Amino acid sequence: MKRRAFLGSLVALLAAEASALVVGRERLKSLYLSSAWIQRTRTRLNSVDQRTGAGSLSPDLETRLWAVALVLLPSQVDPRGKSAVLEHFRWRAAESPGYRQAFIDAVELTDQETRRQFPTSTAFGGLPRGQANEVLRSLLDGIPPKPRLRHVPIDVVRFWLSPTYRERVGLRHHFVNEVLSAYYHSGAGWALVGYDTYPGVCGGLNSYSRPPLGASRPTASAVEASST
Amino acid sequence: MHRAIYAGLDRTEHALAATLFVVGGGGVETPRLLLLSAGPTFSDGLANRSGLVARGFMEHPSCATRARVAGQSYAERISFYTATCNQFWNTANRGTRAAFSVQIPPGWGEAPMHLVEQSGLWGDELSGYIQREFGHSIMLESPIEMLPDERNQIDLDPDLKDYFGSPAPRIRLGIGSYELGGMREAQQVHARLLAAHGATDVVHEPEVLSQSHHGGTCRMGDDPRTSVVDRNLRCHDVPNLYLIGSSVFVTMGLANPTLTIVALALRLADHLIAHTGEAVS
Repeated sequence: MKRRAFLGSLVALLAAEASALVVGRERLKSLYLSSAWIQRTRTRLNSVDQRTGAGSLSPDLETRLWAVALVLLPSQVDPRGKSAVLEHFRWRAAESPGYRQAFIDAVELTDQETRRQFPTSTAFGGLPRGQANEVLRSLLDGIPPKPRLRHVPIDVVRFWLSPTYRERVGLRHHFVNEVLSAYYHSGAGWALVGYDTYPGVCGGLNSYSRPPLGASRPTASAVEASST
Repeated sequence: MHRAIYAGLDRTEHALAATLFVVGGGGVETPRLLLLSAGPTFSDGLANRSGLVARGFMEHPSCATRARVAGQSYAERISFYTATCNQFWNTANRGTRAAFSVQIPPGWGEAPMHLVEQSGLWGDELSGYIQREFGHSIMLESPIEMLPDERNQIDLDPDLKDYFGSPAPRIRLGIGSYELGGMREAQQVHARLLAAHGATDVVHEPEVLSQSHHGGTCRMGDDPRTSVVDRNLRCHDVPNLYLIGSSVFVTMGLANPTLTIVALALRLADHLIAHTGEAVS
């Protein structure tokens, strides 16, 4: 498959270079990026399938999702981060059409790759951390963390040549990124760098106020009295 | 002008009759509203006989430079700008290049989540990377003065509609040699400041950033041929319609627009009270 993908990329690259010489690089790039075919391919590649709808997560599915998420998080998981991730799973699945199915697809893809690499194991969630990391690496190798315009030609070629490319992009964008975003946006992410107050969470008056030089910090009752 | 038609969130239209109207929608929405209000008397948009409604759009484009510092930069510790330098605002070459300031944004794209996006890592590798990298980057940012140019304009998007089914605004904005001159000099200043600080990995952001300060699309002036509102913010073409907000700015300057908008609003209120004889509470 790797050889086939390489040859496909090479042919596409040579064709693009030859056309660039004739039509002009910028004009060709603009035509290429705005073409309906590319737009459709990009949409299919980077979007969840909204037709699958939204819905709640069963306890079993939630357990399976958390088992995959654990490998993405630090080995010492902050409880605030765990709550944030689980809450995010529930909210996304219920409110954003397509995400519930994207989560299911992500778990099934990791399970499928687990069985391929470790035939005695049945589920990704049952693997030791080291082996789970190997499975994830093999699935996410070469997948950019976020969709990038300059990656479009490579994406399009891989989309048409690799049978699992779309699923692996989905795993990265609609599962891995969702888990990391929920965890590191929460207090757990900020605690990692020593912050207990951060944008959006000021922590109350005492956390960020400083009395004028030579003055003592006002008491809570004095602050309350001055604001009424 | 006798009445305004508007719709609430339920998309039901209502009519509001009045003797005097004041529109305050900012540098994008005010001209858009006027363009959407085209009719038999004003086929190119309400109060647009000059053809200048929605033209001369201005912003505060900015350039930025990132670098790595050995010490802690205390990123994201506070949520507002605490360090701004206006030394480069009025210099001898102001006539040939745009004024600019130099400021240090409080959060410069390295919150833990931003480091996640940059790294592409996960697990313990990621948490280790965040702990190592957090607080060692710094950004210098320079908003740039922008001159009015009629080619920078807003029109109605033929395809994109808003919640109410009305055409969305489409912004055409480019920067010229005056603004580019300011940006180049700002980048040189950034490089000198960072070098003096011993910073490494200095990278000038390739993209022109925005400060989201809109203005200049319904400019003020005495001549109805070259302006949309007069010195009292009354539309030349529609005597009972006033515009307020950054859309009436003639130039954008470099200062943030809010205080100028407030000053103009207070002045307009005084004018309306004096000339309509009604108290405005």
